[in-house]
Amino acid sequence: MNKKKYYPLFGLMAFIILFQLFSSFSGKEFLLIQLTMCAYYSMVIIALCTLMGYAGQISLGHAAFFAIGGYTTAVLTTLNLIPDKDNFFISLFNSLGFLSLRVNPYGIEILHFSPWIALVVAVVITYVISFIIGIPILKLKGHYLAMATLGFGTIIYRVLLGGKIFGEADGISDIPEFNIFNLLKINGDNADRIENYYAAWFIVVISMLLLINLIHSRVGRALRSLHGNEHAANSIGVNPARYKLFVFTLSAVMAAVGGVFMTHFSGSIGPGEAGVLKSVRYVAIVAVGGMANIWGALIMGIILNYLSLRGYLGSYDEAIFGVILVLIMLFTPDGIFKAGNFGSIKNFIFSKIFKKA
Amino acid sequence: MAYLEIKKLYRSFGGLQAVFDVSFDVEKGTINAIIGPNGAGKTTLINLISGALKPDSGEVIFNGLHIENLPPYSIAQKGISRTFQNIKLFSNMTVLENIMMGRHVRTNSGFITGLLNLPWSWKEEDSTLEKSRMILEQFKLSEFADRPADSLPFGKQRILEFARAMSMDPELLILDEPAAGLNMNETEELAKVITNVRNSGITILIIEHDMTLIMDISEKIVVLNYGEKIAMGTPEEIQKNSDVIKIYLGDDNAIG
Repeated sequence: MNKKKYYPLFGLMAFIILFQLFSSFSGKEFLLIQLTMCAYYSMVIIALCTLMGYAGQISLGHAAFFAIGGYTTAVLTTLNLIPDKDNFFISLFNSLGFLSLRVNPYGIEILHFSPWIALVVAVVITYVISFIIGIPILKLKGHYLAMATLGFGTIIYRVLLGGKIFGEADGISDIPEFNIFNLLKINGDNADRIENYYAAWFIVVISMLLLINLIHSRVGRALRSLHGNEHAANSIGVNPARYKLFVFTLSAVMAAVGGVFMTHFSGSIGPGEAGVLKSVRYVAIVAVGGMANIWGALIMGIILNYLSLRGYLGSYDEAIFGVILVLIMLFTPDGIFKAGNFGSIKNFIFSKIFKKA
Repeated sequence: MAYLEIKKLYRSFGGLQAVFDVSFDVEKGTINAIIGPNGAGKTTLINLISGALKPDSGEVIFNGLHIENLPPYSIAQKGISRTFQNIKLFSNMTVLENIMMGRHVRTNSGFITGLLNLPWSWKEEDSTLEKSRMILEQFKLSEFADRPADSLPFGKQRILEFARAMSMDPELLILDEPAAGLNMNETEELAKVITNVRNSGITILIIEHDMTLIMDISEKIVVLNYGEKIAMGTPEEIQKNSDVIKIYLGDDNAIG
């Protein structure tokens, strides 16, 4: 078995640890907060990269899956079941340990679904939704698929924006922490930010491991063959519908898992997370990293999201991602990590220097 | 019962009858050619057999199984592989990976195995790799193994597509104009390769415009014109057939 494919993972882990040490020693631990958020957004990016870059199926609706995950957990962990606690199902859930009780800052007792159950429900809901919409829309190709996924994203955005249970334009806040076996707590607490940082990146590393395995497997090869030539893939024994549906649902669920943890981390979620501009941003990042280059996508995801979350891009944030997408498509459609690029940049710089000399 | 039976196959596109009442049998281990002028319905016929198109009516029976309504991927799983008139390679993959794709139907690691890289897939991957390298060697493509498939010269791309179809260990190999765009030496080479493939027990169905190649290698020839079968027989019989001579060379009584 070829182990080379795992080497970059060690690089990622080293970076994660070094960054934490650096920030702690220099007394700038607050930098970890944005990098934790980057980790959760990276889940969408690597999932989208697998779908777009490897299997060749574009999605302009991935922010919607992230939001479906986030909103599912937000609703389930904030919905107060106290008034219905004598209901047969509620007491059954309670005795099964599906519910947990907490007291909110105003001293009100809230009985709600535990985050574990919310995570499972979020995964199931996302899987079902992506499965159902995937069957018809994955028959479409290219621009038509882009338009259909864009439509799906818009529908989810409007539903979240208009739904009373989703808090309309305000979204949902006061979301409790996600407690992992009392070892790790995913919450926005300043005291726990190192813990949170490692928890987030742990999830990303595991996801990367799974996706790297997949890309280098027989199934991954089949997915890439669909990208290369669907007719030929079909005639060589690959069932296009089945493989596309698999990668679409996998990618949707992975984005939703990112959404679930992000929501517990930030303690709130708003309809903006499902917005079309978010979806475009994810597509732009995958394109910059190089479509069929999961490491490129991850690295660019970290850099660009970090700059954006730190506020370096200012109020032109969304515009900058649009400009990036246009420039990349014009000048280097295979992403900036393409093998030849660094050589040609070097040559360009050298030629300038020598001309002057 | 014949190995591959085509029975009363019909297919039209709008008002055009592309394949009209075509029936013939293919015996196991033989080279069978389909010839005819441009637009005679040859490629349509092949698409009907390989599942890329569905017939309006008629039957295709392979090894005793009805395959006329199966999708291409399940026909491939039955052991039928094909090449395309306009080469269809996986341009985003290397030459070696293209060949490895040919092993897809002969391997079975699934989604979960792929995600978790479970140990039982390792052996399968190794044997896929080994077999693919063997095929590359056999088709003299080893030196190109790690190059992107679309960077190969045209002739090599044709050979690569042929090699990909062969790496699946097919029972029936369908070749759609394999000599198109090849020079004379390459065509001679191709004739040898096709004969070798036949000698290894694989049945071949070939469409080709190069008459020298067809007359040299095939055992049975089916002639199509305007979607209809107008003649069938050995190369000698076809060469003497007056209908065939008429469509290729024109009518004695034609004015002009």
